[in-house]
Amino acid sequence: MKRKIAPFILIALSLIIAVGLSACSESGRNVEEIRIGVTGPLTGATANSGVASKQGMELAVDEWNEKGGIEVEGNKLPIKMYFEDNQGKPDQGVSTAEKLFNNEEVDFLIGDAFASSVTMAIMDLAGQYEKPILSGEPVSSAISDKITENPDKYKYFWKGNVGSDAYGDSVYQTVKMLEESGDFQPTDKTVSFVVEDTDYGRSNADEVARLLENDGWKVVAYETVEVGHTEFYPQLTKLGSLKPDLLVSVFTADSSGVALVKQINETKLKTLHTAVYYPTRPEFIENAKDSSEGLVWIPLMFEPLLRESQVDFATAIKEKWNVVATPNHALGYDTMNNALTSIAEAQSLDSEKIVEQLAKLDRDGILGRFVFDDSNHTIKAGPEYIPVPAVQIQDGKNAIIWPENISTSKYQK
Amino acid sequence: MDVTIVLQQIINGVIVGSIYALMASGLSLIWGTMKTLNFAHGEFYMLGGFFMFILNVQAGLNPILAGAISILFIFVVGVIMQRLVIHYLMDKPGWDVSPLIATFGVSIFLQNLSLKLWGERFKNIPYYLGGEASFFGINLSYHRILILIIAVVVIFTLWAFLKYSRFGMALRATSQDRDAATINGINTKKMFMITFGISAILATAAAIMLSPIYSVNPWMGESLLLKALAVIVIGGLGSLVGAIIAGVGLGVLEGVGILFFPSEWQNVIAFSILIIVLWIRPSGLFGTKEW
Repeated sequence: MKRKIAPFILIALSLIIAVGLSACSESGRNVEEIRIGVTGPLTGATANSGVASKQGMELAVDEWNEKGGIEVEGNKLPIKMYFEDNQGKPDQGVSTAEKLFNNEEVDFLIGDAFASSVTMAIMDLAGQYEKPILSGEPVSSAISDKITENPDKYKYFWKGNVGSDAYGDSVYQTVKMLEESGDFQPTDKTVSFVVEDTDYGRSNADEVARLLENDGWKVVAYETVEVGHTEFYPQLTKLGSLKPDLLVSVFTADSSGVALVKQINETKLKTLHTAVYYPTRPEFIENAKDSSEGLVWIPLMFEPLLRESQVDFATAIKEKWNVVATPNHALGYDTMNNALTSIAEAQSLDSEKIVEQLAKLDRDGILGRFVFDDSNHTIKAGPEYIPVPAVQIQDGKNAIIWPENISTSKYQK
Repeated sequence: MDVTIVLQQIINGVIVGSIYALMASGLSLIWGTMKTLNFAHGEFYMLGGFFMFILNVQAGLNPILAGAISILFIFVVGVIMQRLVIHYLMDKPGWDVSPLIATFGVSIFLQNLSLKLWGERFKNIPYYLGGEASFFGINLSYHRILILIIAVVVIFTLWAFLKYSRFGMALRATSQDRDAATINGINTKKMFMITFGISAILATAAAIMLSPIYSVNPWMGESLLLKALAVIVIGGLGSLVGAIIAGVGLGVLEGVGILFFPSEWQNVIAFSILIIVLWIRPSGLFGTKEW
């Protein structure tokens, strides 16, 4: 008899445990802290950006905790950040995000902190887990396009940086300005691209190509290389035969950028070179030295030497981490503050209430004014919001050359 | 198409290919003597780069002295790795797979150790020779010419060492028949350790020459290891001549291929050649069928 009822007891116990677990997961953990999960690269070719971003986020969390935390449902709760390394790989991004939702039971996910391609892979989880996800640095317009196409599906996903259309426009407007001033006289209106083979690299290049082609330019080469690639002699030799008037390069790994500008110098390629992103790292000029001289690049979002409002932040990073503050620190700090501000305004960990507050966000950050475009959940770009100025490296320092109203110097041939 | 451009791409390919050959020679040497692959070979290259950076840039030693000390140090690392990791796996069940897994583990350990010790920021070493040479419309930095010269000298020295020195003969004897070599008084355990050390030296030589161009970071060995693996398979596992010819050949094909295809096809070219060679000659261009 005992043997006969044993299986039923086991099944009943299993059901009780399963129902209990399910009830736990529905009601959630005991809320004693606000858990913010972050997934980003701490190893791999873009680790330097990921580490800086993490440091910026930790500074923001510390500042909120020093103020006593955030009031949620009448209780002041401390904030705890859970950062998982994804090596800049989309598959790792998804598994770390899943881990943060399932194991750490985070209330809010910042993902990806850095890469567009990882964000593209993660963004679908927002609807699946019905938890808010905010990306950090990614700019690819493909992310915004997905949201525009299906706003209900991506109700909980928000893109914490401007779109690649803003970057593309900045490159295009700068080239146009140089043409109009006579500083740049293209012979055939031909442009070539050397970009990393990621959503970031391609989206920025595609946007520049689209704007230039509309203006009568012709794309003569579109070379994509893997992240961290550093051998450009074959590509530059090919470009030498095509003689493009303009070269646009896009990399997230500054090692690629350093190698490219050095090798352009060595192969004596004559072209107007415009770079996207990589010169933003402070070690770029330090490592590229004279080869970086005269380079035009975007976007100069963080430069305490030119923007007084960023000096205090640079000092705080130096004091806390003993490193030179970078745009990655600033955007990490701003992204975390945007996330925490939305929770503070919602006074709740309810996803619906948090995303309602993200939609209403209007916050002056280190990089500018953060306001979301409601149609595509993307941070607005422009002089009133997040400016995307173009700069030229002159005498080893960055000088803003576009837009003219905030320029600190003229373009130098 | 302009002949100068093709010639320049061939020269670019020969230079890059010589480094592939240098890296692949180390792997080939280990396969030849121990019939296994070392997945931590890229990390010998990475450690070589970091030591060069520390000695040349931070300590201010001249490149020749810094290079010599780096080579000596990484040789010791290679020997220690063989003694602590591979030695205990040899002649044990699962030898076919165990060193692959073990060296893969060592690779991850060394990457993370260097990340912890030296951080995630890329390190740059200045060129040992500044300036550029221009001839027949071809522009090339002196540093790249130096890379080619050093690679040729190192590979030739290795070949002569293996062919004519007593150690080289002992190594070849061990490779051909380990038991017979032992009976003839060759200390095969010592041979294996020194082989790992020499393999590490070859990777360090590549790192010393390439670090000024490619930057030093904990992950710098990954992509080069992948290419070196393709090269030794194309050239024939265990064949030094095969590694050299396949390395240079692959470099040239990649360089010239870019003239006809976009850069994203660079790896496609390399691995298509690998598949074709494996299809036609499963033992590689210069490999033997014994394994």
